[in-house]
Amino acid sequence: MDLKVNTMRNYAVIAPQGRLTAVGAPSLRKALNHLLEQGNVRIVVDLSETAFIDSSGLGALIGGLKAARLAQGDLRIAAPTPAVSSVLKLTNLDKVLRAYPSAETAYHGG
Amino acid sequence: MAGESQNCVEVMGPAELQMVEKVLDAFDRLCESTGRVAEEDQMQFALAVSEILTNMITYGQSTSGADPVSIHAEICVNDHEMCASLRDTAEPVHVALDDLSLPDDLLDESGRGLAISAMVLDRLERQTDSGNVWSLQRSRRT
Repeated sequence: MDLKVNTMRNYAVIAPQGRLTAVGAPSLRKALNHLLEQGNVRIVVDLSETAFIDSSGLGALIGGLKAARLAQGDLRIAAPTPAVSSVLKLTNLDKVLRAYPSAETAYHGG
Repeated sequence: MAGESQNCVEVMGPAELQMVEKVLDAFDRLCESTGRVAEEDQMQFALAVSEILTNMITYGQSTSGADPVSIHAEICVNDHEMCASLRDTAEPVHVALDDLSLPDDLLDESGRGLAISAMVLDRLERQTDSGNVWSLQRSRRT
Protein backbone atom coordinates (compact mmCIF):
# COMPACT_ATOMS: atom_id res chain seq x y z
CA MET A 1 0.00 0.00 0.00
CA ASP A 2 1.19 3.50 -0.84
CA LEU A 3 0.04 6.66 0.91
CA LYS A 4 -0.35 10.07 -0.66
CA VAL A 5 -0.63 13.02 1.72
CA ASN A 6 -1.68 16.52 0.66
CA THR A 7 -2.05 19.40 3.06
CA MET A 8 -4.59 21.95 1.87
CA ARG A 9 -5.47 25.31 3.42
CA ASN A 10 -8.30 24.07 5.66
CA TYR A 11 -7.82 20.33 5.72
CA ALA A 12 -5.40 17.54 4.89
CA VAL A 13 -6.01 14.67 2.50
CA ILE A 14 -4.50 11.25 2.95
CA ALA A 15 -5.04 8.68 0.20
CA PRO A 16 -4.18 4.98 0.74
CA GLN A 17 -3.58 3.26 -2.58
CA GLY A 18 -3.97 -0.49 -2.96
CA ARG A 19 -4.96 -2.82 -0.16
CA LEU A 20 -5.46 -1.49 3.35
CA THR A 21 -4.71 -4.55 5.51
CA ALA A 22 -2.57 -5.28 8.56
CA VAL A 23 0.46 -4.67 6.33
CA GLY A 24 -0.43 -1.06 5.53
CA ALA A 25 -2.59 -0.11 8.52
CA PRO A 26 0.38 0.85 10.78
CA SER A 27 1.62 3.27 8.09
CA LEU A 28 -1.81 4.87 7.88
CA ARG A 29 -1.99 5.20 11.68
CA LYS A 30 1.47 6.78 11.74
CA ALA A 31 0.62 9.23 8.94
CA LEU A 32 -2.66 10.22 10.62
CA ASN A 33 -0.90 10.79 13.94
CA HIS A 34 1.78 12.85 12.19
CA LEU A 35 -0.86 15.10 10.61
CA LEU A 36 -2.55 15.61 13.99
CA GLU A 37 0.77 16.37 15.68
CA GLN A 38 1.35 19.03 13.03
CA GLY A 39 -2.00 20.61 13.89
CA ASN A 40 -3.89 19.29 10.87
CA VAL A 41 -7.01 18.19 12.74
CA ARG A 42 -9.43 18.24 9.80
CA ILE A 43 -8.54 15.17 7.80
CA VAL A 44 -10.04 13.51 4.74
CA VAL A 45 -9.14 9.92 3.94
CA ASP A 46 -9.56 9.65 0.18
CA LEU A 47 -10.50 6.02 -0.48
CA SER A 48 -10.92 6.34 -4.24
CA GLU A 49 -7.81 4.25 -4.88
CA THR A 50 -8.18 1.86 -1.95
CA ALA A 51 -8.95 -1.43 -3.65
CA PHE A 52 -9.57 -3.47 -0.50
CA ILE A 53 -9.95 -3.00 3.24
CA ASP A 54 -10.18 -5.44 6.13
CA SER A 55 -10.68 -5.04 9.88
CA SER A 56 -7.08 -3.88 10.39
CA GLY A 57 -7.67 -1.03 7.95
CA LEU A 58 -11.00 -0.25 9.59
CA GLY A 59 -9.23 -0.12 12.96
CA ALA A 60 -6.78 2.46 11.61
CA LEU A 61 -9.64 4.63 10.32
CA ILE A 62 -11.51 4.42 13.63
CA GLY A 63 -8.33 5.18 15.57
CA GLY A 64 -7.77 8.24 13.39
CA LEU A 65 -11.38 9.35 13.81
CA LYS A 66 -11.14 9.16 17.60
CA ALA A 67 -7.77 10.93 17.70
CA ALA A 68 -8.99 13.71 15.39
CA ARG A 69 -12.11 14.28 17.47
CA LEU A 70 -10.00 14.34 20.62
CA ALA A 71 -7.98 17.13 19.00
CA GLN A 72 -11.25 19.02 18.31
CA GLY A 73 -11.10 18.05 14.65
CA ASP A 74 -12.64 15.34 12.51
CA LEU A 75 -11.79 12.55 10.11
CA ARG A 76 -14.05 12.11 7.11
CA ILE A 77 -13.86 9.63 4.28
CA ALA A 78 -14.34 10.34 0.60
CA ALA A 79 -15.10 8.41 -2.57
CA PRO A 80 -14.81 4.84 -1.25
CA THR A 81 -14.54 2.15 -3.89
CA PRO A 82 -17.41 -0.39 -4.05
CA ALA A 83 -15.23 -2.95 -2.23
CA VAL A 84 -14.58 -0.55 0.65
CA SER A 85 -18.21 0.62 0.79
CA SER A 86 -19.30 -2.99 1.02
CA VAL A 87 -17.11 -3.64 4.09
CA LEU A 88 -18.17 -0.39 5.77
CA LYS A 89 -21.81 -1.38 5.32
CA LEU A 90 -21.21 -4.97 6.45
CA THR A 91 -19.69 -3.74 9.71
CA ASN A 92 -22.18 -0.86 10.21
CA LEU A 93 -19.26 1.56 10.16
CA ASP A 94 -20.98 3.52 7.41
CA LYS A 95 -22.95 4.98 10.34
CA VAL A 96 -19.88 6.60 11.90
CA LEU A 97 -17.81 7.08 8.75
CA ARG A 98 -20.23 8.72 6.34
CA ALA A 99 -18.78 8.89 2.87
CA TYR A 100 -18.49 12.16 0.97
CA PRO A 101 -18.39 12.14 -2.83
CA SER A 102 -14.89 13.61 -3.01
CA ALA A 103 -12.10 14.94 -0.82
CA GLU A 104 -12.96 18.46 -1.96
CA THR A 105 -16.55 18.20 -0.74
CA ALA A 106 -15.82 16.56 2.64
CA TYR A 107 -15.49 19.86 4.48
CA HIS A 108 -17.48 21.99 2.06
CA GLY A 109 -19.68 24.15 4.21
CA GLY A 110 -18.51 22.66 7.50
CA MET B 1 -12.58 -29.59 -2.51
CA ALA B 2 -13.76 -31.76 -5.38
CA GLY B 3 -15.66 -30.14 -8.22
CA GLU B 4 -15.78 -29.57 -11.93
CA SER B 5 -13.08 -27.38 -13.50
CA GLN B 6 -11.49 -26.65 -10.15
CA ASN B 7 -8.48 -24.36 -10.00
CA CYS B 8 -6.24 -24.05 -6.98
CA VAL B 9 -3.31 -22.01 -5.78
CA GLU B 10 -0.86 -22.67 -2.96
CA VAL B 11 1.37 -20.27 -1.05
CA MET B 12 3.85 -21.25 1.64
CA GLY B 13 6.17 -19.17 3.76
CA PRO B 14 7.03 -17.73 7.15
CA ALA B 15 4.22 -16.41 9.34
CA GLU B 16 4.82 -12.73 8.60
CA LEU B 17 2.16 -10.17 7.74
CA GLN B 18 3.54 -9.85 4.22
CA MET B 19 2.19 -13.38 3.71
CA VAL B 20 -1.34 -11.90 3.74
CA GLU B 21 -0.49 -9.82 0.67
CA LYS B 22 1.14 -12.78 -1.06
CA VAL B 23 -1.91 -14.97 -0.54
CA LEU B 24 -4.31 -12.22 -1.65
CA ASP B 25 -2.16 -11.64 -4.75
CA ALA B 26 -2.29 -15.36 -5.51
CA PHE B 27 -6.08 -15.43 -5.03
CA ASP B 28 -6.49 -12.41 -7.34
CA ARG B 29 -4.46 -14.21 -10.01
CA LEU B 30 -6.50 -17.37 -9.51
CA CYS B 31 -9.77 -15.48 -9.99
CA GLU B 32 -8.32 -13.68 -12.99
CA SER B 33 -7.26 -16.94 -14.63
CA THR B 34 -10.59 -18.57 -13.78
CA GLY B 35 -12.31 -15.54 -15.23
CA ARG B 36 -15.83 -16.14 -13.99
CA VAL B 37 -15.77 -15.09 -10.34
CA ALA B 38 -18.12 -12.22 -9.53
CA GLU B 39 -16.41 -9.22 -7.92
CA GLU B 40 -18.57 -9.46 -4.79
CA ASP B 41 -17.75 -13.15 -4.29
CA GLN B 42 -14.05 -12.49 -4.85
CA MET B 43 -13.91 -9.52 -2.49
CA GLN B 44 -15.86 -11.17 0.32
CA PHE B 45 -13.84 -14.37 0.19
CA ALA B 46 -10.59 -12.38 0.07
CA LEU B 47 -11.84 -10.49 3.11
CA ALA B 48 -12.29 -13.69 5.10
CA VAL B 49 -8.91 -15.05 3.99
CA SER B 50 -7.25 -11.79 5.01
CA GLU B 51 -8.94 -11.78 8.42
CA ILE B 52 -8.11 -15.38 9.29
CA LEU B 53 -4.53 -15.20 8.05
CA THR B 54 -3.91 -11.96 9.94
CA ASN B 55 -5.30 -13.58 13.07
CA MET B 56 -3.08 -16.66 12.63
CA ILE B 57 0.05 -14.60 12.00
CA THR B 58 -0.61 -12.09 14.77
CA TYR B 59 -1.44 -14.59 17.49
CA GLY B 60 0.37 -17.78 16.41
CA GLN B 61 3.08 -18.70 18.86
CA SER B 62 5.91 -21.04 18.00
CA THR B 63 5.94 -24.31 19.87
CA SER B 64 8.71 -24.16 22.44
CA GLY B 65 12.04 -25.05 20.86
CA ALA B 66 10.55 -25.46 17.40
CA ASP B 67 11.27 -23.60 14.18
CA PRO B 68 9.56 -20.24 13.57
CA VAL B 69 5.90 -20.52 12.60
CA SER B 70 5.17 -21.07 8.92
CA ILE B 71 1.97 -20.83 6.91
CA HIS B 72 0.63 -23.04 4.13
CA ALA B 73 -2.37 -21.60 2.30
CA GLU B 74 -4.35 -23.40 -0.37
CA ILE B 75 -7.29 -21.76 -2.12
CA CYS B 76 -9.52 -23.45 -4.69
CA VAL B 77 -12.29 -22.11 -6.89
CA ASN B 78 -14.75 -24.20 -8.84
CA ASP B 79 -18.05 -23.48 -10.55
CA HIS B 80 -19.96 -23.56 -7.30
CA GLU B 81 -17.75 -22.46 -4.44
CA MET B 82 -14.52 -21.04 -3.13
CA CYS B 83 -12.59 -22.94 -0.46
CA ALA B 84 -9.44 -22.23 1.50
CA SER B 85 -7.33 -24.33 3.80
CA LEU B 86 -5.04 -22.19 5.94
CA ARG B 87 -2.51 -24.13 8.02
CA ASP B 88 0.16 -23.01 10.44
CA THR B 89 2.79 -24.74 12.53
CA ALA B 90 1.99 -22.73 15.67
CA GLU B 91 1.01 -23.95 19.08
CA PRO B 92 -2.57 -25.21 18.76
CA VAL B 93 -5.01 -22.65 20.13
CA HIS B 94 -8.67 -22.92 20.96
CA VAL B 95 -10.92 -20.28 19.52
CA ALA B 96 -14.68 -20.22 20.11
CA LEU B 97 -16.34 -19.90 16.73
CA ASP B 98 -19.93 -19.99 17.90
CA ASP B 99 -21.75 -16.76 18.68
CA LEU B 100 -19.31 -14.50 16.86
CA SER B 101 -20.51 -10.91 16.72
CA LEU B 102 -19.28 -7.45 15.89
CA PRO B 103 -18.25 -5.22 18.82
CA ASP B 104 -21.18 -3.45 20.50
CA ASP B 105 -19.28 -0.17 20.36
CA LEU B 106 -18.87 0.95 16.74
CA LEU B 107 -15.75 2.87 17.78
CA ASP B 108 -13.87 -0.20 19.00
CA GLU B 109 -10.70 -0.47 16.94
CA SER B 110 -10.40 -4.26 17.01
CA GLY B 111 -12.38 -7.44 17.53
CA ARG B 112 -14.13 -7.62 14.15
CA GLY B 113 -12.03 -10.10 12.16
CA LEU B 114 -13.65 -13.41 13.07
CA ALA B 115 -17.16 -11.95 13.07
CA ILE B 116 -16.63 -10.51 9.59
CA SER B 117 -15.32 -13.88 8.38
CA ALA B 118 -18.37 -15.68 9.74
CA MET B 119 -20.64 -13.14 8.03
CA VAL B 120 -19.17 -13.60 4.55
CA LEU B 121 -18.59 -17.36 4.66
CA ASP B 122 -20.97 -20.30 4.56
CA ARG B 123 -18.55 -22.42 6.58
CA LEU B 124 -15.71 -21.52 8.93
CA GLU B 125 -14.02 -24.32 10.86
CA ARG B 126 -10.82 -24.71 12.83
CA GLN B 127 -9.04 -27.90 13.72
CA THR B 128 -5.84 -28.55 15.56
CA ASP B 129 -3.37 -30.96 14.08
CA SER B 130 0.36 -30.49 14.43
CA GLY B 131 -0.65 -26.81 14.23
CA ASN B 132 -3.90 -25.06 13.40
CA VAL B 133 -5.98 -25.66 10.30
CA TRP B 134 -8.69 -23.21 9.29
CA SER B 135 -11.20 -24.25 6.62
CA LEU B 136 -13.15 -21.54 4.82
CA GLN B 137 -15.93 -22.06 2.29
CA ARG B 138 -18.24 -19.70 0.44
CA SER B 139 -20.77 -20.78 -2.19
CA ARG B 140 -20.67 -18.55 -5.22
CA ARG B 141 -23.72 -16.27 -5.24
CA THR B 142 -23.52 -15.35 -8.90
